[in-house]
Amino acid sequence: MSSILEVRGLTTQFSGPKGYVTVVENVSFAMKPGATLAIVGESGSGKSVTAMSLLRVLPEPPARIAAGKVLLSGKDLLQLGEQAMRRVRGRDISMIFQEPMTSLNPVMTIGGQIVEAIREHRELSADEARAEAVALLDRVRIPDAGHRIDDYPHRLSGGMRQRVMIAMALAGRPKILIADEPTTALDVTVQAQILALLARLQSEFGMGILLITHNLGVVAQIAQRVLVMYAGRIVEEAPVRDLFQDPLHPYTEGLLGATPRMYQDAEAGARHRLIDIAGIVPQPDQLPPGCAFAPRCPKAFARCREERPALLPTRDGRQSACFLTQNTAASA
Amino acid sequence: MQGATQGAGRNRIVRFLVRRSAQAGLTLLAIAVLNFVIVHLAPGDAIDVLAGEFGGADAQYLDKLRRSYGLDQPIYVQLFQYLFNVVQLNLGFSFRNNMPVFDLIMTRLPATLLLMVASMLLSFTAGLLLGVFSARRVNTFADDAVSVLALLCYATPLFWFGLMAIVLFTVKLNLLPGNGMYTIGSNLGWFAATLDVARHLVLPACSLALFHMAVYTRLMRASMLEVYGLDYIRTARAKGLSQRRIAFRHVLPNAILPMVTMLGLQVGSLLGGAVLVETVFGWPGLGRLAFDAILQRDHNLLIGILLLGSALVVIANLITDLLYAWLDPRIEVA
Repeated sequence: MSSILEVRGLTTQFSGPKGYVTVVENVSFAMKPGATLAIVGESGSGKSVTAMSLLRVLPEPPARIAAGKVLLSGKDLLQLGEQAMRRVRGRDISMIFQEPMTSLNPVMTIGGQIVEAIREHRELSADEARAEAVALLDRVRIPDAGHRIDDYPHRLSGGMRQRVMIAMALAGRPKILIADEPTTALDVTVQAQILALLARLQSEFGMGILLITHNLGVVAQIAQRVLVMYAGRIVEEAPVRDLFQDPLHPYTEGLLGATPRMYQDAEAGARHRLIDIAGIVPQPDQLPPGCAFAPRCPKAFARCREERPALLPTRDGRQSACFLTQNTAASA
Repeated sequence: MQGATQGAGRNRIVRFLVRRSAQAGLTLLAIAVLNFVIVHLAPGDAIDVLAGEFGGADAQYLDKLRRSYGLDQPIYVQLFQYLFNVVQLNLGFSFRNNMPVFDLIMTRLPATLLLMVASMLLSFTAGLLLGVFSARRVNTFADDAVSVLALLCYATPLFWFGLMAIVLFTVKLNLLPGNGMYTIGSNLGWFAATLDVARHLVLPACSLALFHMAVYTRLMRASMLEVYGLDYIRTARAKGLSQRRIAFRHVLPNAILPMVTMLGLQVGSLLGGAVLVETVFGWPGLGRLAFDAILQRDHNLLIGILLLGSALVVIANLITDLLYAWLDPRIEVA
C-alpha cells in the first residue's frame, strides 16, 4: 500500500546566539493510511519538533525548516504558501498536544472553539456546526455534551479537556492525527481511556495516527511501527513487536530496560529491575563528533567516537544506526 | 435551569456590590481623615491668604473671621465636625467662592468627567490598536516606529505638548479652539452646541490621552506577545485559523485583561493630569478648581475635591472588577 505521508530528509534548525543549531536532522519516514506510527525518545530528542515541523506550527523565527520534503499524498507541504498550509492544518492533518490544561483558550467556550474549527474547514451554518460539535463531543464520550458545549475549559478536568482537544482535531475529518504526548499529563487510568478512545476513533474515521511519546508502554498499546529518535536523529525503525523482542540499537535497549514490564520477564522468574541510562541527552549544539549516543553507550568502541553511523537497513525491513548491528547484518 | 443559573448570577453580583460598597464607604472615610490631616499640616489657612490679598489686616479682625468660620477650633474638633458633615454629603462651605463645596464641585464635575472619559476612551482605544498592530509585526520597522512613538509620547511633558498643540492647531493653523469649553457668546442649537464642545474637547483630550496611550501601547504589545507564546495559540494555528482570526479572537481577548487593570489605575493619575490640562486649556473643570483651591488655602474645597477624586477611583476599581469577571470566565465575582 502506498504511503499517505512521506517525510524525506527533514532538517529543522533553531537560531541561537552562535548561529543556527540543528535540532532535527535528516529525518525520513513514511506512514500508511489508517496506521499508527510512533516516535519515541527522551525529552530533547527532537520528536515534538519533528511533529510540529510537519504542520509548520513552529514559530519562525527562531525555527526554520532547513531541508527536506513532507509529502502528503505526493504534495510537498514545505513548498505550500501560508494560505494553502492553513487548509492542510486541521483538515488533512490535525494535532493534539501534551498539555490539555493549557491547550484550550480559557476565555472561549469549548463549543466555540470546536465550532470555529468545523466552520474553518466545512461549509456549515452556525446551527449545523453547533449540532456537529455536540455530535463530536458525544463521539469522544463527553457525557451530557449538549450542556457541556457551553462550558469554559476551566470547568473541565484534564482528561475531559484532552477529549475536547480530540473532538476539535476531528472537526475537519483529518486523514492524519498527530498526537504529541497525548497522555503524559494525565492520570494513569485516564491515560488508558484516552488511548482506547484514540484507537476506537482511528478505526471509525480510518485516520493515521502519528504518536509522539517517551512512554514505550503507550507505544506497545496502539502503534504498529516505531521510530526511535535520539539527539535529533532516527536511530532505529522497526515494527513494534520486533522492537520489543529484539532491539537493535543500544539506545533502544536502554529505553526498554528503563520501562516497567509486567509479562515479558515471567519466564525469567526474577523481578524485572529498571535500569536507567546513565547521563543525559546532549544539547543539540554540543553533539560529539561520532555517534551521539556513544558517551552513554555501554557497548561503544573507538570507531563510535570518531565516525557517525548512518541509518541503514538491517533485516526484515528494519533500520538501525549502529555499527554493531550493521556488522552483524553484514556477516549474517 | 438556564433562568435559575442566571438568577443566581444576578444575586451573586448584587451581594458583591453590596459588600464592595460597604468596603468602599470605609475606604473613603479613611481617605477623608487622611486628606484632612495632610491638608492641615500645610502652614497657613484661608484667612492668612485673604489678609495677604488685602495687603494686611489687623489681628483682631482676622481672629473674628476665624471664629466665624470655625477655624479657631482645635484640629480634632474641626476633623470630627468635618467627618460628621461628610457622612451627610455635606462637604462644607467654600469661603472663597461663597458657595457650598458640594454645589461648587457639581457645577465643575461634568466638564472634568467629559474630559476624563474622552481621554480614557481615546488612550485605551489608540493604545489597544497600536499594541495589536505592533505585536502582529514584531521586530519589523513598523513595530520599531510604534515603539519610538510610544516612547516619545511617554516622555513628553503634558503641559509642553498642550502648549505646542495650541501654537500649532490654534494659532498657526487656526483649526481648533485652544481655550475654554464652548464659544463664548454664541447661541447655538443643541447639535451645533455639541459640535462646538466637541471641537473644544479635541486638544485637551488628546493632550491628556497621550501619556496613557503610550502606556497602553507598550502594555498591549507586551501582553499580546506573551499570549502569542502560549499553548492555546499553537492549538489555534494547528486548527488552520488565519493570522487575523488568531490575533483578534484568541490573542486579543486574553491580552486585554492587564489593560483593564491599568484602566482602573489610570483614573487616579488622570485626575492629576487634568489639573495641568485644564490649566493650560482653560477648561472649566475640577482640576483648575483644585489648583485655585490650593493657592487660596481653601481647605474645605480642596479636601472636597480630593474626596471626590478618591470616590472616582474607588468606583472605577469596582467597575474594573466587574469588567474583569465579564471578560474572563475563570474569575467569578464573590
